[in-house]
Amino acid sequence: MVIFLGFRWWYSEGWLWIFNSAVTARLKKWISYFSMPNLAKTLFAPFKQDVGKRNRSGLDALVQSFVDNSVSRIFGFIARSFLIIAGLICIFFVLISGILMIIIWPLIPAIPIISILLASGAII
Amino acid sequence: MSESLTCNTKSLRAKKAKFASNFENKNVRGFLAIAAVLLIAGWAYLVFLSSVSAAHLLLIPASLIAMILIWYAGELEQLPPSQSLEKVNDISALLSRHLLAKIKPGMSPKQLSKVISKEQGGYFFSSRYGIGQDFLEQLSADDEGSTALVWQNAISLAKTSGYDHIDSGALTGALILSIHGANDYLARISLDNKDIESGVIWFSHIRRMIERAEQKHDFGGIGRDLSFGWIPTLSKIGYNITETIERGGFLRRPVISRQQTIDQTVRFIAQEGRSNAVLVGEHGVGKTTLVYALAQKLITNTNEVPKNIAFQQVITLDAANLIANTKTPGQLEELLIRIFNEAIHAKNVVIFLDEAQLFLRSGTGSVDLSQLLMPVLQGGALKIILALSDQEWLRLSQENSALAGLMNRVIVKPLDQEETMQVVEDETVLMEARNKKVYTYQSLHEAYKLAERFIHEQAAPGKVIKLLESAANFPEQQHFVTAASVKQAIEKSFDVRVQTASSFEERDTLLNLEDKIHQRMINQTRAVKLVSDALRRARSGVRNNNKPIGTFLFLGPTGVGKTELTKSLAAAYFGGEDRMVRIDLNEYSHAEDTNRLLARGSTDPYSLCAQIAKQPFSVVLLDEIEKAHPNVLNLLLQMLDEGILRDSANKPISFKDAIIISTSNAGAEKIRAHIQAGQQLEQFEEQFVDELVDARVFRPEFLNRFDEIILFRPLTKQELLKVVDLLLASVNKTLADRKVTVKLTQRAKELLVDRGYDARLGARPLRRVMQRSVENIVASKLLAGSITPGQSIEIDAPELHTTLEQR
Repeated sequence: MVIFLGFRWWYSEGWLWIFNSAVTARLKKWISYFSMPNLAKTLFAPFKQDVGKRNRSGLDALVQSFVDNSVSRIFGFIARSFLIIAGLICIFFVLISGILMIIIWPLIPAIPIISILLASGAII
Repeated sequence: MSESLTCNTKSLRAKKAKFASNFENKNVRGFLAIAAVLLIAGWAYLVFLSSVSAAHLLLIPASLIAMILIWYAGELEQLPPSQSLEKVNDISALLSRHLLAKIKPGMSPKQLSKVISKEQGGYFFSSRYGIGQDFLEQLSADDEGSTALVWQNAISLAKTSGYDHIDSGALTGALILSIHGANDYLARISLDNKDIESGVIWFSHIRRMIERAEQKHDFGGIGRDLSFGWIPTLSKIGYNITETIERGGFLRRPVISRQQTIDQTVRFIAQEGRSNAVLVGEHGVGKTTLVYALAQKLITNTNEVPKNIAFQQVITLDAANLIANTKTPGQLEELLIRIFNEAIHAKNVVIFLDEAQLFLRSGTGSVDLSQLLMPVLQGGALKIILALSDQEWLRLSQENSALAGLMNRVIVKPLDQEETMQVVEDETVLMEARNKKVYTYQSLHEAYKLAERFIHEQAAPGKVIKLLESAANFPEQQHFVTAASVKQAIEKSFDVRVQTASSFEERDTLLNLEDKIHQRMINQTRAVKLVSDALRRARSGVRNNNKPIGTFLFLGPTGVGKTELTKSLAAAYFGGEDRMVRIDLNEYSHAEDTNRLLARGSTDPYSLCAQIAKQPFSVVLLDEIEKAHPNVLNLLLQMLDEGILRDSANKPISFKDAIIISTSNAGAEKIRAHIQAGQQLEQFEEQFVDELVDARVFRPEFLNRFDEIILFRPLTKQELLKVVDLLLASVNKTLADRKVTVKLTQRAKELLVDRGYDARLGARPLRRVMQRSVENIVASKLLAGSITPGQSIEIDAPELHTTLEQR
């Protein structure tokens, strides 16, 4: 019976497949979607390269430029942090759903038997 | 590998394949998924809202459906091979799922060919190679014992395709190669075993292209550009190549030699300081495509490029667009400064200036940016790639060596045949989508061959692709672009004939060429035959394509038919006397006259090179060759030998579709003396040529370049009488509009020969005498009204004599 080949796969290569597709591949996808390594590397970089240019010399100009750059960097930090947090939330849900999937994976083939028992009232 | 390979159709993999085929249809899977969801929803409603415990049974079909769909996605859809191509004892372990599901026990090659005809590989060979189901079914063996050879061939072909299993392309190729006497059958459609192997590789490559297009690529995510600056002006003016790639607009395989060039370019634009690269290569060599491949690498293979240029976007600027967006040169400069500043400031932009010469000198549609580029390149802050042709690069080096010195040159060489074909195969898929035509494999190879032969102003692969684009205008059976389509395209574009003679009229002309030429000229039978033979060889495909169709040296006195034969040939076969390119070499007696022969069409449209560039399928008459300067003759050596001359701009001009006829009067007196002594041409021909060499009239290496040296003998009086007939026919042709016919008595003809023959000038004065006498008599009679339309007049010797004496 072909269905037994299915069961064999379910409890052998199937484990690895569900781990890869439900956890590894999804994690990679969301980490990449939110550009997380890139954002982490440039966490304190100016936002969209909006940095002040010093067109004149002197302490005032230096201070002004420092303030401009700091504002841009703070804004960049906030924008990146927002994206990183959003990414982390997604990753959290991916991990939870992945772990749940791995846990219930071996139980899925048993669902028909459990259903019969439930229907017959053998188990409540 | 076992000699008796079989396919176990009861293997576990075969069972899985058959089971999977039930769920192959997306709609079936979609329906099952919906059914499972509805069952679960029903279960939830009934159990939790209505407390119906029997509803738990709904989970049985729901869970079974879900498990089957998961199993399909996890294993059955791909169904990887269970053995390797290197070590296999059961072919069912290697066949693709689609094929395996359709294989039945004990199938013969003929039965397999029926299976394959409905698979993609079968369609591929049917449309691209013209090897259809009928061909395979008729020729494949019908005994089960022959199938082992098919499996063995399939394994060999699968290895070349780069896949780990046997797909329908490899199996179709294997079936073709397993046909008894396959070589003979393939030869009939201009193919061999190697071509079938190439087909399997091409098919597998198309599969990979589709797979790649269906894959989701990682282009860096939504936060990729947060660290990079705004580029509002650049976005408006430039064309973003990277965005095109992100939308899936570039699907080509990496060609090995181009990978090295891309890597070199990447190194240059990633380096500190002069981060620029100028791609130098012939037009058509693929400089723009190379930049697209580079842009793709920067956003998809970020691990393979230096970190400072990962995720950089390549934006190209168009000179005409820049000019159109500004009103004054000042505004243009301002705009460019803004664009360059944006690019530098953004820190993720590589500017690409295609056809960079348009940005380096002023003119219509071009703008001189050199002054602006100098400080930018010196500073090294802007990453920039320029594309220039070899000639433009040399011009830049000469005219602005300081600017050229700031650039990092990357030479882009033309691809060899194998790599060109790979690029062309990729491009074919895109051309087919554009043109709604199917290109056959033979058309691609014909295009390469003909582009190499005729298109010299562009390099491969560009010229091959251009030719294939043109060939789409000459499809066969509605939508197939074949080798014949490519030949037609080149014939129309270059006004040449590359298809072997096929029409009845053309074959008739070729087979009876001598008769047609003799309608215009008398005798010189040997010369006529040799020239006709050369043309027949060319048009039947039996010739060396790397030389002119034929090269002949005609030696003999004036007025014996040397030029007339050339004209007759041009008229009889090449389509008219205007197909004759005549160069009087007595006008090329100085060393500097070589320049006039090589002048480009733009400076002298009547130079030898200009005329042949315009009309390659011609008869070239080089008259009085002995009077040319030795430098001119040296120049002609290459033309005679290789069929190529380089014009003043060093562009190769092909003479490979021309017949070259040189004439000379050298030694005419000797020929006459030999003939008068009663000798036949064949008796003194060799000695005569030796005498010309001894007398240093011609150098032996020059004479050796000709296919044939043909001696023309003076015409006898009998032959001159026939010339009179030809001239009279010409007069009557002129008078045809007036419906008047002229006849000459025998005595009149003899009188004309007496008066018109000159031992020194041959039959040449005869035409003048004819004009002075016959034509004058007819003209007078027409004016006097003594002859009217529809009449025929006969002129006798006394009347001619009187007219001639009057002068």
